[in-house]
Amino acid sequence: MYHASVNIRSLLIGTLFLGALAPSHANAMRSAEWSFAGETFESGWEVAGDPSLTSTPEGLRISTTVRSLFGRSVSTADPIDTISLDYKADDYIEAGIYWHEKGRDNDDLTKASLRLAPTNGVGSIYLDMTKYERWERRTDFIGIGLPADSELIINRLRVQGWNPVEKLLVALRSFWTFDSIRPSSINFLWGPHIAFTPIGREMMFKSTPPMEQSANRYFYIVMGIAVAWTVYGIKKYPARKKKAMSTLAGVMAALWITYDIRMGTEFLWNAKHDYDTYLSKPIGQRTFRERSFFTDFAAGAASLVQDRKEYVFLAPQRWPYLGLIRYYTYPIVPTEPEQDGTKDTWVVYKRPDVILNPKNQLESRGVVLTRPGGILHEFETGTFIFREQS
Amino acid sequence: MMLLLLPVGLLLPTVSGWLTLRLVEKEHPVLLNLERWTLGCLLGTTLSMYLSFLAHIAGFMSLSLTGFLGIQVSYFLLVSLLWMRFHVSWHVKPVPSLPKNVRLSKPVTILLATLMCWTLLKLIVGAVILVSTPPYQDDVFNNWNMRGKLFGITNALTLEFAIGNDITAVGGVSSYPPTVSMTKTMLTDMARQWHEGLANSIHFVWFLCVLILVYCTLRRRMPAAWALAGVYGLSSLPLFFMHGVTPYADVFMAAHIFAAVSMLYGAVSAQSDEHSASFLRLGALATGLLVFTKNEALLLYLPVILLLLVFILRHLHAHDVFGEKQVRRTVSNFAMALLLVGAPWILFKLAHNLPFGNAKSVSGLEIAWQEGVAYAIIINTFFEGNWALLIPLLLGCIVFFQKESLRSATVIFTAFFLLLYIGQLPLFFFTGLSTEALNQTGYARGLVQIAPIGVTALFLIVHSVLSPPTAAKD
Repeated sequence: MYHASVNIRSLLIGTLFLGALAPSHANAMRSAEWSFAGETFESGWEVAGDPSLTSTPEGLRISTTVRSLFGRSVSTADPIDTISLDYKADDYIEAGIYWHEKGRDNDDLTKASLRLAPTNGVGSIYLDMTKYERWERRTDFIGIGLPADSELIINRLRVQGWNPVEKLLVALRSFWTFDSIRPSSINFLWGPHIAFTPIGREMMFKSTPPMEQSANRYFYIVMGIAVAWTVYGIKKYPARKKKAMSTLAGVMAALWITYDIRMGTEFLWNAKHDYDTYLSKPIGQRTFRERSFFTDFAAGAASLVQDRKEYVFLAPQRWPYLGLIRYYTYPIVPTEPEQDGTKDTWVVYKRPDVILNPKNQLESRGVVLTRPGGILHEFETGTFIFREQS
Repeated sequence: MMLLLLPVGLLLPTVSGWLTLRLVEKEHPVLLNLERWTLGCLLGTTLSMYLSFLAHIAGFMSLSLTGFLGIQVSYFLLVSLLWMRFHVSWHVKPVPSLPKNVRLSKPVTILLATLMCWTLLKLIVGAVILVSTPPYQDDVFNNWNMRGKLFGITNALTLEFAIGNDITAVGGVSSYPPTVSMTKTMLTDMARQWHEGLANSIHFVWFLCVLILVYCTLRRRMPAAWALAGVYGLSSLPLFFMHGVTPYADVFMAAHIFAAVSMLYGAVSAQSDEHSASFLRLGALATGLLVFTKNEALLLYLPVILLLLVFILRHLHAHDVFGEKQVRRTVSNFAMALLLVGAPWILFKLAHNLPFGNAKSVSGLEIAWQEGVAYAIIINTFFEGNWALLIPLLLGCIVFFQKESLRSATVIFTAFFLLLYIGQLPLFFFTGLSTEALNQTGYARGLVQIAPIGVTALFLIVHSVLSPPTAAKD
């Protein structure tokens, strides 16, 4: 790879130089926001279909009886990369984002599906519009389409766009954005991903699989260029083959080390999190990853059931808690309420629906589960160990 | 303090393992000192557990501390006596010399030292996490540690217990060889109570074992700096490292696979027929014990190792390195090792109706094209963080440098890797095992098990491309 270092250096310097020369307004993130909270309503909005619009303190309530569209014209001067919607809904709504593509009729809008989940109060959804192939960054119209018989309160709508320099900086930061250790980490690690918008970076590892691009493709591009350059160099200067191969090996080693530093740092970052939340905390205050305080709960339960053969175990879901509690309490085994056996002890984890009624029986949603007894130890509401009176 | 029981518990198996290896090497030792102690620890522990298994199913011992100690002391006495008997009559030849170390430039020295410190930091932090955090991954509390605890409580090789997330199901993970769980039982029996950190600590030993074995294998062919770079390469594979510091059995399996295959490689690259024969005897021992590690050994790895053995023996015979007699002796060594370990284990499985697959039965698999598998495999292999850049670099090297990768001794590693990798793809593409690829479970684990082979192949190829053959030390 002849003169590679000089050329790469020149390229880097050139890029930085061009970045510095970029007009100052090009470095500013562009955003526009429309708030409907506090019964405010700006002009410029258009509707299609037959929606009923009502201003409320929480935002604009839109009720539909037929398919409807709620949208507005936007400035084509400012490119749009993401759309954020703060809204309130009681049910799932199979909605859509609509926009107008250049060169098409004004009525001919492009649609992307948008599933709005029910919210507890006002919730938010972020859309990285660059993910849609047909997205027009400089569109002149955006809107939200609602199906018939739906109701939605729009609290705020925000559109944002970033220039190339800002996107490059976000991409660099996203490479160093880490994923947490989770049960699936024993089977696969997502590895570095590249997002070009801050929202994309923030949401990067929150969906499965990640919505953003794998950074590996950029490594492969560099590797491909390095190999092509080396092959070209060897063909042109066969006598310098050994030096070319050494340079190629150096580039590959540098890429490997970069990858290792990224993944090794992710591991250490996770280890520090474990130290901060588990290893450095006293028993009773520590939590472990998404399992919360289950470890201490299970250890406590194990000591309280050790004179029994079995017990009833209740948790929000079977996996992973059933296997875990069995492991902690073995040879005393967990059973389920409907199983036969001689069990008088109930080990309950994060089940706020299971309560002690006035007759000192365990009860869940009006169904009595046990004979009268008492709570041996309560960790928090819905997490306790109960034993029936003998 | 409990963790101090780890070296205490491994002392007898390691010394016995060392003596076993020396007995197998006979008058022609081929292993480096570090390598012999490492292999002694790895194979000695597995052999001790295998002997305990045999004694237990024969009704001679319970899986208690006394039982384990009884077997280990007997094993130690046996190999010590044999060692004393033979050692005096042997005319031991020197171990083959190593390639000379090269003088490194200052920047390379600093870079290598920095990478070693970085790796050491990761290993220390990983070890702390391994021994001090609660059980987290599924197979820890549903299989390896659970069975270790079960054996300790029942003092027996109990096969039936509540499994997975089901209350009453029976079978599944009990079909795995009990080596990993029995080792945990043995260690925690010394503590007189189940100790999570102590039970997990053995996994770090296995992780170090495979790193050291890769170093020693590379060191026989290249200077120490290169071999250290190879160790760095293996430890920097993100998913392999994750397995190294998690109480799963795939690195344990990887260490045994590497032990067996590296001995075959040693046989092909050795300078004399005696050294080749020594390596093949060691290979027979490692291959026999491989059967007692995980179910994959019998179905996936053993056929490929035997295929390579045939290739090696034909090669050695064709080049007049081995005569008919040596070929027959090698075949009988392998047959005996496989028979001694495989036969009791297979009979035990048949007697207890335990499946031969990876906790699943392999019989009755329907053949049909499985949608989505190719995409899942491409993503896992090339676009996730699991393998760093290993796979494209290795495949690229094999394509571009065929002489170094396929027409030299390195072919043992490259052929093993390719045969295993390509050979198991139809299982995912055409059978119900596709879920292992689609859910990214079994597919990635399979690669973890052969990652040391892949890394070693890569460094052997790159070294032979970049460095002229180095002269041996005087």
